Amino acid sequence: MDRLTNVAQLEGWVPARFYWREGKPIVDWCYLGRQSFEAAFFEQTIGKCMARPFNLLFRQQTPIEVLEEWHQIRPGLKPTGFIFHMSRCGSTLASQMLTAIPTNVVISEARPIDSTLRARFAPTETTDDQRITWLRWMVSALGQRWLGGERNFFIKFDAWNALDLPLIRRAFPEVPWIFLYRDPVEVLVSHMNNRGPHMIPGVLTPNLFGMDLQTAFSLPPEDYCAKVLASICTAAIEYCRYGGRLVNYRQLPDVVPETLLKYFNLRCSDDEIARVGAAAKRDAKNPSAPFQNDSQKKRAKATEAIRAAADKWLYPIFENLEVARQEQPAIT
Amino acid sequence: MISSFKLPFNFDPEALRSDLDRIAPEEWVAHFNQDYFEGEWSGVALRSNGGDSQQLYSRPASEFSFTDTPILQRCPYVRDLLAEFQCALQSVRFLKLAAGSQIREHRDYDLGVKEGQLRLHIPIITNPEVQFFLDAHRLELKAGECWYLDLSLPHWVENRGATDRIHLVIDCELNDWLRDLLPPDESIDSELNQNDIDSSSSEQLRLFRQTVLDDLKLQQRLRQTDDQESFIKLVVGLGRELGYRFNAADADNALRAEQQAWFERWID
Repeated sequence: MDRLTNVAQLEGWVPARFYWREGKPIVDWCYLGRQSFEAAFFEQTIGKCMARPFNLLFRQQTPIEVLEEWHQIRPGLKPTGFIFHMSRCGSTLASQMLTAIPTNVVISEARPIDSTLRARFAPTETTDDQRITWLRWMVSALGQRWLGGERNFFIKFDAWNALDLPLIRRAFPEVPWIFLYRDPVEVLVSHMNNRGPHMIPGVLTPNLFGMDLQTAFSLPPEDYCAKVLASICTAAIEYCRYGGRLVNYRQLPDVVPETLLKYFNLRCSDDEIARVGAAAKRDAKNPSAPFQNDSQKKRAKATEAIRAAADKWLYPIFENLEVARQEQPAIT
Repeated sequence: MISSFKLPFNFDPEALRSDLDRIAPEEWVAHFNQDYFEGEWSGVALRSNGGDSQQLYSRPASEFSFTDTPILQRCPYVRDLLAEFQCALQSVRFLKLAAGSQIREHRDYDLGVKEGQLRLHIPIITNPEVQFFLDAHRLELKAGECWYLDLSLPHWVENRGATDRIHLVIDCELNDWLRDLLPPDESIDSELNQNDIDSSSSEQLRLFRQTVLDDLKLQQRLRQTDDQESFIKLVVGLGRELGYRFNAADADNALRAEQQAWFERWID
């Protein structure tokens, strides 16, 4: 399909993938139907859809420009708020608490969004303006009223997307955002146990974090991870005066109903606030287990190398984040 | 193998309903298969392993033989109706799918001509909003009709109507009397699976896929099953209807290739 010939043609379809083929950006769509993004991550919902034989054999594949046509026909919901985070710091808990309100669409770490942002590393040179346009189209295609009655739309970005904050702010200047962070040692312990994609040089290019491949490979893993986290936190602290609010893991989960709902201008009923509270009682990545602050456990596992890397690369920035957070005006 | 067939009986829905009226609401029990449905699916046994009216699960190999339950004594019309069946009866149940409820797609592997066990459905109360899909095809089962259904094929039911749907469901052992009621076995499988792959058939499949992507009605029909086997049959069948010549092997290969491509999507 090069052009939309029928308005209704993409009703219920969701962009599942954005990639380059023969130097051109392509979007793969899969049929979602009337279904919400309840799972903790976008990719889980898409994976379930792609297990259906229909979606395998009948995938819409369109040039990126079809997103623009679709955006004009079905602009969807304007984003209500964005969540940025340093990873392993409670961001999934926060997003699942927002998901608990049925009128919220919450898109968590969607690959198609990350791919449009990372298009600057694409084979064909892509300008910032181009990426802003694509990002707006992509966000609009994801922020549809999937069940019909949705009113608010949140996006939790991938941790490294914080580096694109200036560009995301240009694309969505009005949208309030938060940055979640956590004690550096605790975050490093989590990554050393099971590293996220941004912590493995080569899965995500080290250029993203201001390092070349050679430097990346010469560093001990603790130091590489700490430097990656440092660059993410630095980006957040530099831009937080533009519509951002800093949130420490320690403030979870109460900060969501007490502060963040108001910060995002949500007016919630008592029932909705109760749902948000109930979601906090679950472990976001494993809903059958209750959420537990595991700072003590994480700290007990810190090795000497982790502590040294945290001291060298991260604690000064962490202190700055803490000072800036405490200077933030109260939200009433 | 046929997947469904309307048997040459016509029963009286009114008389069946008056039998139903003799059952108190508290005598219905929730269906045992809690994983398969959403909403309310309940039943009452007229004949069961051991003769308990709350025993909905039918087990031919059980140590308890199939026995009439006290409920059957209260249902004169069903008693007469069952007398017409010249075959051994296993379980006999009223099954109710409440308004707004659905049974998710599944197979009952122990049923079918091959297994020598047939399940017959006689709708008593139903409505036009009931969607019954068997092997990706919608069936319309009307009150008083008697249907043989091969439920070893994937099937799902959704009662989108405002009223409950109640069927009389009879399990019986296949014998010559029943075999004569069913149509002769005209297997279309051999035609669908024949190995006449020529170079143009994959091109034909490609064109069919393009047609589907432009046609919302076709898409809807193709989404009626998540079962891979039923899906392939449906794809080939719809393709033929529209004049595209490809076979099950083409569709199967294409599906596998897409699966592979999806799993490998992040490897560039």
